[in-house]
Amino acid sequence: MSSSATRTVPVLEARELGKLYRLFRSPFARVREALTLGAVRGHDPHWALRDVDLEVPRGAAVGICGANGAGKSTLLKILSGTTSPSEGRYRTSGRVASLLELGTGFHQDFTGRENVLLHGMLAGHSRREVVAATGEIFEFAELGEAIDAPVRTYSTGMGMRLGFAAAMGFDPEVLILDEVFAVGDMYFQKKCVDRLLRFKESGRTILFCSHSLYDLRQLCERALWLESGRVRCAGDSTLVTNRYAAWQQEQIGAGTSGAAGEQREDWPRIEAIELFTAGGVRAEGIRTGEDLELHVSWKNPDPEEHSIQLGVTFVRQDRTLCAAAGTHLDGLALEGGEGTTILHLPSFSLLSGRFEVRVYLFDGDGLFRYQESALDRELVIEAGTVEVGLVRIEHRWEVAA
Amino acid sequence: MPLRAPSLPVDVDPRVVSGPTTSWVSAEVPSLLASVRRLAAWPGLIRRRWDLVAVSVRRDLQARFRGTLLGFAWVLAHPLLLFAVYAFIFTHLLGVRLAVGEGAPPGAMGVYMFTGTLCWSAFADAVQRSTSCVVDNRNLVRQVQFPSELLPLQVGLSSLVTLVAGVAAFVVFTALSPVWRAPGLALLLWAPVLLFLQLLLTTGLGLALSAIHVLWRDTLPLVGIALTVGMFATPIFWVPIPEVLPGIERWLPLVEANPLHHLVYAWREVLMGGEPGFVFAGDFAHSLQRVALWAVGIFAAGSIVFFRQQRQLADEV
Repeated sequence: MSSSATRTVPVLEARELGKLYRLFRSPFARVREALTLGAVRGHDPHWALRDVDLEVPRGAAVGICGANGAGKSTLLKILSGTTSPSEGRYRTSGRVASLLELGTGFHQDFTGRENVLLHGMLAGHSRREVVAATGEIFEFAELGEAIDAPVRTYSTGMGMRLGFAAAMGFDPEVLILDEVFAVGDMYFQKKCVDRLLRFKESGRTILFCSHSLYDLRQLCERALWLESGRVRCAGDSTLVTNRYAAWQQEQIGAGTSGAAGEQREDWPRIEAIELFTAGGVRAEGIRTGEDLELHVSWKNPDPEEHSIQLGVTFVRQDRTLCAAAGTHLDGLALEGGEGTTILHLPSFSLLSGRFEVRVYLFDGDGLFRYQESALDRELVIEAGTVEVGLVRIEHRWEVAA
Repeated sequence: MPLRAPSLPVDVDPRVVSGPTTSWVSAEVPSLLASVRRLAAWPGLIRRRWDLVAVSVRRDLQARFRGTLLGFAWVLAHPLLLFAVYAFIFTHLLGVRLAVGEGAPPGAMGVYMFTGTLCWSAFADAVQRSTSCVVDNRNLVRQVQFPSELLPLQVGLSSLVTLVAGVAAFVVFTALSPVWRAPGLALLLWAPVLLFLQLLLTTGLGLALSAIHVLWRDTLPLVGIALTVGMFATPIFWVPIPEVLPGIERWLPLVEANPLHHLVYAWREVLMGGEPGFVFAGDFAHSLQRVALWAVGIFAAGSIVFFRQQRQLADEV
């Protein structure tokens, strides 16, 4: 089944893991509870995590999704060893590095250089090992002169760069990441993703949580969906994230805005997205040059109040935005309470690759996003020729006289 | 619902498969026995993490004096200033005298107070700052896995540096002075022992107090009050012998029970033992023994308190 080198002993293993937080009503309540040895209870118990079983084999990448407060960060904190479980048990193997919040444990008054040094030593490395690793870390973080400026002068993005570089820099075997892509420019995000993919390819293990289902699908083959501290669904990442996305939509539809705080019931929303080839056939894999139709069904319960526009983007798996179209750019108005808008894509010119088709519902100015949704599967394109590049450009050759 | 990914067809880096699997980490609070075992693991921990401790102590010293005009000179400025103020009040305004025997050099009481202040201010500084050290480093404690028991130790070490600087200044000052005799080498050899015992004492107190302070934030102001009271309850500015301070007899058992009295006395013996005018009652060996007992006891108790609380620190800080 597997060679001895890839033995299936999990590198991260958790059994019935749970975390109880005691929320004391006042400092006095804590004293009273302590003095009465717990006879007078002064706290409200809150289970942030309960009954979580997890097995992550070596070389796997597992993503965790879930609403705010579902227990994602708590699980990562326990597994990285910064907080202890209230029930159950876990074990890890190999060096574990974690990036829990932005700028992990950086001292604001010290420079980036000093902080990296301290970070490495906190992780248990000797001074010599740390100094040897800093060159690569600073190079990756690309902070230039700022590396010798106090961390308090850094922007959030710069802190994140340094944090990520430092977490990756000491050759960990297991990497635990909490929402690392929340900030940072596109360039650095791509650099991080590339680094993570290489990390994974070298047989190392990643456990990572994100609100970006796109990132989860890209990086992880497996995913875990936590809801109210419990595992709601686990398995193939596309399956889990799609179920989670569907649940989010339900929550919005039911008016319980638990998942996406800013969405409201009377707001415009996307009902369905479907992709067809010219003959009305549901498109799975397609070839460059085929004619495509993207059907987007939407509802706008209050057209008087909200005017809407649609945007569609094609994003390649390395996060490159390859093509986009928007009704606001083309001067089309979407009127009425509901409808299906069709985007015709004659002779589709993207070459081979896997793409995510994202659909945005904007307000009339094309600025505010009511909703962001995606086609429930990747768009797989085969060029059918040996052409290279991203798109097939209109071209002709001529032999000069 | 266990989550199993298929074993992946990847080229495994040979370094990756080397890591040992850690034992299960469970929810059980570590037993008293486990805490005692960790007590025995202190020397090994410090040896393995010496680089971290050294860097942190240097950082701590830098952070305290960074951006100040006098820089490291502040280490001396504080006890010197205290000494000047109290020496003036007690010897000039109140006329308290130390020496009852013949041959006491002038200003004996001033030197007496200086040595006491030197020892006490290093102790008080360490206790005060180590009480809040876990709370002050909440960023680290919450986000990074590392042996947090090193935090009070780092504070204790950094305060010790100020004490060493003060002692060195005292030795140089007395060696240059025509009136005062520099401490003898034989006695000075005891200084490292005293430094070590003082480190044990302050780190032990720091371990217990920092863990308690995380749960009850009233601890720090209470410690501040206790230290102020302690400064006057300990013979820093007064001499615990009836010839100098009539009526002290009935309080002597309390003085004897105070570990800081023994620590301060031992420091004075080391720094002033060569003076013929230094006649007040005391027994160096006895005080040293007392300090050692207290230091080891408090360090052990403080460590155990900290180890028992350690697992909840990240949640409560």
